[in-house]
Amino acid sequence: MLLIPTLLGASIIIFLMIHFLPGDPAQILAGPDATLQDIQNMRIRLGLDKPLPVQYFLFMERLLTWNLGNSLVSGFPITSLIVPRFLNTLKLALLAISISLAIGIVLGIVAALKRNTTVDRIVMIFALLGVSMPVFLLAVLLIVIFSIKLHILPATVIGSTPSIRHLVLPSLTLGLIGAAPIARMTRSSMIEALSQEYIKTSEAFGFSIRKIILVYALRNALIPVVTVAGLNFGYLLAGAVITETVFAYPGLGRLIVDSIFARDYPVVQFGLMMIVALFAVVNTVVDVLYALINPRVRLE
Amino acid sequence: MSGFLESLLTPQNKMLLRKLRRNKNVLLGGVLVLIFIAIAILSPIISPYSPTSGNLSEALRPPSSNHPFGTDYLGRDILSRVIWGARISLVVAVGGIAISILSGAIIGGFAGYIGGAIDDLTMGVVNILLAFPDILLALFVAAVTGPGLENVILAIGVYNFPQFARIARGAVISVKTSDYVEAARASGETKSSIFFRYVLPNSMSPIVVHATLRTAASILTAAGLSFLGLGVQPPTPEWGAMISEALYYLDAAPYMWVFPGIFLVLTVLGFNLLGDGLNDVLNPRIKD
Amino acid sequence: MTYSIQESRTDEVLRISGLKIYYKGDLGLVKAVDGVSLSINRGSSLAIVGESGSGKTTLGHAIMRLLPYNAVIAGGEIIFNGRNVLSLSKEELRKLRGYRLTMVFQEPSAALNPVFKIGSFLKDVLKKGKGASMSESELKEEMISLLRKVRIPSPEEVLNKYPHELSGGMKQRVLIAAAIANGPDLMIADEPTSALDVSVQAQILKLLDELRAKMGLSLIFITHNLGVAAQVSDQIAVMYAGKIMELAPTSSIFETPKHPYTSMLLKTIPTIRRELKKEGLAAIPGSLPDLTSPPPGCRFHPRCPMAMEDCRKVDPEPIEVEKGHFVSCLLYRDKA
Repeated sequence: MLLIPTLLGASIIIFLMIHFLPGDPAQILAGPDATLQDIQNMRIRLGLDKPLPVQYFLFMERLLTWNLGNSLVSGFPITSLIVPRFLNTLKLALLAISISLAIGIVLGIVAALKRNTTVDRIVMIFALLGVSMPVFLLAVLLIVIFSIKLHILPATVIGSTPSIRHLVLPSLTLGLIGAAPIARMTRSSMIEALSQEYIKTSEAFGFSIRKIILVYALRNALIPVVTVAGLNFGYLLAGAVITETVFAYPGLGRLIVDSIFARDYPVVQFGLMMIVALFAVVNTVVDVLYALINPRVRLE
Repeated sequence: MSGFLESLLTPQNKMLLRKLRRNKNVLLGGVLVLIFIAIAILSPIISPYSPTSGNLSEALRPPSSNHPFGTDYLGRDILSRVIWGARISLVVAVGGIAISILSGAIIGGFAGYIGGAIDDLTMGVVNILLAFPDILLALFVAAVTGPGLENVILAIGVYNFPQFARIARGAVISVKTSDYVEAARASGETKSSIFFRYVLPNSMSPIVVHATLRTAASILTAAGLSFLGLGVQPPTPEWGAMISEALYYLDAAPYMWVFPGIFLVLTVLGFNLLGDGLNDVLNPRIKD
Repeated sequence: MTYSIQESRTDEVLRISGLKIYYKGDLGLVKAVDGVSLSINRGSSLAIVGESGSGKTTLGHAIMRLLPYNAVIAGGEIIFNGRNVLSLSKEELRKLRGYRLTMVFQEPSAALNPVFKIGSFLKDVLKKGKGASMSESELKEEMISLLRKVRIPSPEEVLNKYPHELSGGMKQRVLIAAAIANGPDLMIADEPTSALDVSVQAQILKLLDELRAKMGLSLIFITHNLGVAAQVSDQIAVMYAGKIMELAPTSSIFETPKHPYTSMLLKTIPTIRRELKKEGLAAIPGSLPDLTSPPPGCRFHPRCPMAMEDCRKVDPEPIEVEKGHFVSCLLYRDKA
C-alpha cells in the first residue's frame, strides 16, 4: 500500500508550487503598489524567509495539526473554507459515481448480452460519445434542456448549501460522463466471463439464466470494473472542478479555481492536497475492494 | 498511397496496412482526424473573416449566408473562430504530446532499461504525479505558470508525462528480456546501440496507440483549462474558451456554443476511434 | 441399426438413435456426429473412446444439450428416462440438469467459478434438488457428507475455501460431489482425468467406479484413452469421425477387437510388456478426415490397412458379430 509515500510525495510537489512561481510570489501577492517593507512583511507572512526544509516542515505541521492558517484574500481560517466545500464535493462525487455505476453496469450487461446487435452498437456509440464529450459541454447541454427549456431544474446554486435539486444536474453531468468507460469495461469483461468454462458448468447444473448472468458471470465481470470505477472517481473529482464552476456549485473544485485567480496560494495548496488525499484514499479502498471480490488476490 | 511508397514497405507492413484499412474505427477516426488537421493547417486560407476582430453592430447574429455559424457577442464570425480553434487545439495537443512523449519515452524508457535505484526513483515520481487525478495535474501546472498558449502546452506535456513514462518503461522492459536483444547483447553490441537499434523501435506500437488516445484526452483537457479561463486567453479563438463565453448567451445565441461544441466532440471522437482501432490492429488480443 | 446392449429395454436410462449434430462453419457444415445410436442401462457404464475430433465430446454435450450456438441438431433422438431431451423446453431441461442428468468436465480448474467458495457452489446445487427444503444446518451436514463420499479430507474446511486454494484433483472431487449431490440417474464425465497428474487420475477413476456401483447411477465416460476406459466401463463405444465403429463389452474390445481401427487404437496404449520389448508405441498413420466433406463409404478407409475396393463406396451398417458386440465394418458383412 503506497498511500503514505504517495501523499508525502504529493505534499512536497504541492509545497514547492509556491517556489515554482515565476517571479517573487511575495511581490505578486503584495500587489503592484507595495513598498519593499510590504513585500518583506508578505514574505514573513508566507514564511518564505525561512530555509526551504523548515518551510516544508511548517507546511506539514499545519497540515497534520489541521491548523491551516488564514486565507490571504478573505482572511478567514482556511479550515472553515475548505471543510464545507470538501463535504459538498464529496456529496457530488458519491452521487455521480453511483449514477455512473448504475448506468454503466446496466448498459454494459445489456450490450454484452445483445452482442453485435443494433442495441449493442447504440450503447457503444453512446459510450464512445461519452468518452469524447467535454464535461462542460454536457453541462451546458443539460442546463439548456432542463433549466432553460423545461424549467424543471435549477442551473446554478445560490448560497453555500446546495439542496438535492441543485445536485441533480451537476451529478448527472459527471455521472453520465463517468458511465461511458464503465459501460465499455463491463461489456468486455462480461463477454469474457460468459465465455468461460465455469459458465458452462453452471448451465450443466441447470441454474437459471438469470442467476447465471447476474450472479455467476457478473461477479467475475465486476472485478475489472472496480478498478475502472476507482480511476473514474479521480476523473470525476477532476471533472468536478469544471462542473462546479459551470453550476456555481460551492465545492472544493470551484474554491481551488477561484483561489487560483485570486492568487490565494495557501487555499490552492491545501485544497489540492485534500483532493489528492481523497483520491489516494479512494484508490486504497478500491484496492481493498478488489481483493475482497477477487479471492485470488491476497491483501498483503 | 503511391506505388513508389508502397514498394518501400515490407510484406509485414503491407499486411498491417491492409488490416488498418479494413478496420472501421481506423477508417472513420482517421477521416475525422484528417479533416481536423486539414482545417487546422488551412485555417488562414479557408476562414472567411478575421477570428479576432468583429463588428459590434453585427453581434449575436444567428447563422446566415454571410455568417454560416452566426456571430458572437462581439460580432466576430463564429465559423472563422471555429476554424482557427482547430489550429489552436492542434498546436496545443501536438506540442503537449510531443513534450510528454519525448520526456516520457526517454526518461521512462531509460529507467526501465537501466533498472535498479534510478528506475525505482523515476517510478516513484511518476506514481506521485499520477496521484493528481486527470485534469488536476494540468490545472496545477497552469496555476503555477499562469495562462497563455505556451503554458497550456507545458501543462498538457506534464499532464501526459507519467502515462508515457510508464508505458515506455513497460515496453522497454518487455523488449529487453526478449531473445533478439539477448542475442545482440551476446554478440557484443553496446548498451546504447541496443537501446536505439532494438529497444526503442520495438516499443513504438504501444506508444503510437497511446499517443492517439492521449491526444483525445489532451484536447479535452486543454479545452477544459481554457473553459475555466486558465488556458489560452481571449481573444484567441479556442473551442473551450468560446463555449465559456457562450455561457451568458445559452438561450439567446445557442450557435455560440453549439458549433464549437460539435467540432470539439467530433475531433476528440476521431482521435478516440483512431486510437481504439489502432489498438485493435497493433495489439490484437481477445476477439469477440 | 440401433445398437442394443441387452435384450430387455425396461431398465434403459438413455437411448440415442440416429443422432446427427453438425456445426455451421466457414467452410460448410462440419458433420461432428453423424448417425450415432446407442443405449445405456441403469447402473452400467459406457466409455466413449476416440481421438480428438471424433465427435465424442459433441456427443456427450448433446445429451446435456450443452451445444455451442453454431451447432445444428440435424436428426435423431436422445431419450432420457423416456423423454426426448431434444424436444424439452428450456425450463424442463433446466430441471433435468444438475438433478437427474449431470456432467463432470475436463478442466476442473476452469470449471469451478473462481469467485465463489466451494460451500456456496455446492449449496446452490443442492438447493435445486435434494436440499430444496433443508435448513442451513442440514444443508451444511449434507455438503459435508457429500465431500466425504468423494473422499475429501477435512470437508468442513474445504467448504470455506475458494477453488484456487485446492489442488486439481480436489477440485475434480468437488465437481464430482456436485454431480452426485442430487442422486442423478446419469452422469457424463468428459475426460475428467486428462488434466490431472497420473497418480491422481487413478484415484479419480476408482472413485467414479465406486460411486457408480454404490449409488446405482449410470456413467458415460468420454476419453481418448482406451486404457482409462478399461478401468471404469462395462462397455466401450469406439468413435471415429462422427460414427461409432465398434461397440462391445469392455473385455471383448480388449480380447477380441473386430474393427481394424480398434485394433490400431489398442496398439497405442502403453504397456509394460511393450516397454520391455522396446517395441515403442504404434501411431496411427494419417489423420482424421475433413468432416465438412467426409470420405465416401467407410470413413476410416483412407487410413485402414485392410481397406477393400467396396470400403470406398459402401458405408457399413453395424453388425452384431457376437451377442452385444457390434461392429461397423465390411470385413464382417457376411456375418450379418
